[in-house]
Amino acid sequence: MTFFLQSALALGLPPAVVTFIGLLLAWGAAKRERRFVSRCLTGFAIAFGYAVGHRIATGALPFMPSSAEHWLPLLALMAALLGILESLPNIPRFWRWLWRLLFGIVAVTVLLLPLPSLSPTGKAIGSVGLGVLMAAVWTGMNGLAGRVTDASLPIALAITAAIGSATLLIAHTATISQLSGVLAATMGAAFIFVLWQRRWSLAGGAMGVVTVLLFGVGINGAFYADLPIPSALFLWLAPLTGWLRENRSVQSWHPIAQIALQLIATTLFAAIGLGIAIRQLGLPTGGY
Amino acid sequence: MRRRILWGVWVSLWAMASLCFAADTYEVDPAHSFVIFRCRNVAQAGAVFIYGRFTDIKGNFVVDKDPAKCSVSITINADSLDTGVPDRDNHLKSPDFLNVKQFPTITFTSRKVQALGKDRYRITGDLTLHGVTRTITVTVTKVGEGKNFKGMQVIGFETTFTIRRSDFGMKGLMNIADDRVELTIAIMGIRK
Repeated sequence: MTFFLQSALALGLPPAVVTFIGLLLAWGAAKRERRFVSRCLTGFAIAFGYAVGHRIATGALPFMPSSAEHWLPLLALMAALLGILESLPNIPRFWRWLWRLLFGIVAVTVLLLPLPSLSPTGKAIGSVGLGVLMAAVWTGMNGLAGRVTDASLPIALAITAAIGSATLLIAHTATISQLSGVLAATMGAAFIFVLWQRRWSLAGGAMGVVTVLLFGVGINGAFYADLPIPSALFLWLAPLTGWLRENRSVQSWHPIAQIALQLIATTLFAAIGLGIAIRQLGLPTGGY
Repeated sequence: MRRRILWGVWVSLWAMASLCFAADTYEVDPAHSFVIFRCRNVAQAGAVFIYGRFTDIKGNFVVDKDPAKCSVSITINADSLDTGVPDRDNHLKSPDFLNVKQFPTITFTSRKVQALGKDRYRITGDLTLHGVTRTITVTVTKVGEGKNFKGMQVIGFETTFTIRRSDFGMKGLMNIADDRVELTIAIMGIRK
């Protein structure tokens, strides 16, 4: 137990601290009425926090990735750069959809490209299919981040990533599991920050980064380890359960009841993903 | 007439000499070839080495009296790893270590062979593991040669050397498995 706690602290604390510092910088910019800079910095805070954790987990942060998992920090950085466009006001919805779609397809393509067992046609179908899904989840989460102005979204994302980490451990990959844990740590830092700075929104620059990391660990787990695809799908869709709160009858509930519904739904959805993995792969024997 | 006889003798001698000193090409016999590794299990306080083997080996090598003409090329199916514990095998095959879905083969191709003395050679070559190619030098010992019970010419070599997995891009989970991995490659070839 001490071993796991020490590992979790050594892995989780540095990315959480870096993310929190980044969010403080974003907050500082917002205080000076620089809302655009602030929204951009939110994405970079999560991307840099993740990069620190990635370096600790894998022992490497290469600029020229030689394996699929090493693309994740670069994709997060690209998503943060795209967040600059996302943060611009008055951009037609069509253009936002278009660049999210293109980025989704490119991101999935670079992750599937090194897989020799998948045919070029399979890679093309996978890239387009998962790219469209990623763009849809990104749009859904961005919309949710714009509507929900409490700390429920970052904690829902942290729960999803933490359950994803456990699921990936069952799928025989401790490294990708740790990377999901790093994402959970950055979202944990964002949760604490939003608890402190109520009404802080992750909409704009941050949601692209979170989405590409959530899909990135899932694709690595599903295509390079043994994560069942249905498990990955449940984990990717779990944060979108926050849209339940947009239901009219739910909106009449007490805010705490709404948050509880959102978190229970997210946890259940992600737990189904975990359950599928346990059913297919069994619990790890451990101790080997 | 005498000239013709001399010429015939010369050609025959040349042909015999060529046959005697021709390079022999051997094909690796998977049933009698072994790639074994051991790595200290850091998660168990370093109190034990984990032993494993790869069961699917292919390749061929050329043996010549002149070491400069000798060569070896081996391909190992990374997915054939076996340590006797299926969960551990799956973990070692995952992106944490060998990442066999992305890097399905481990290869060694010689560049230079030098004789070190009786039945000992120094082979320098490229080892490609986990998608990373590094030049390594190993000392190889000839175990034996001759005709087997089926009358086929066979020859066997063996080498043991240590690599650092971090040199091949496997830098994670050092708190579980040691960086140093000792490999023993024992191959027997059947002359083609």
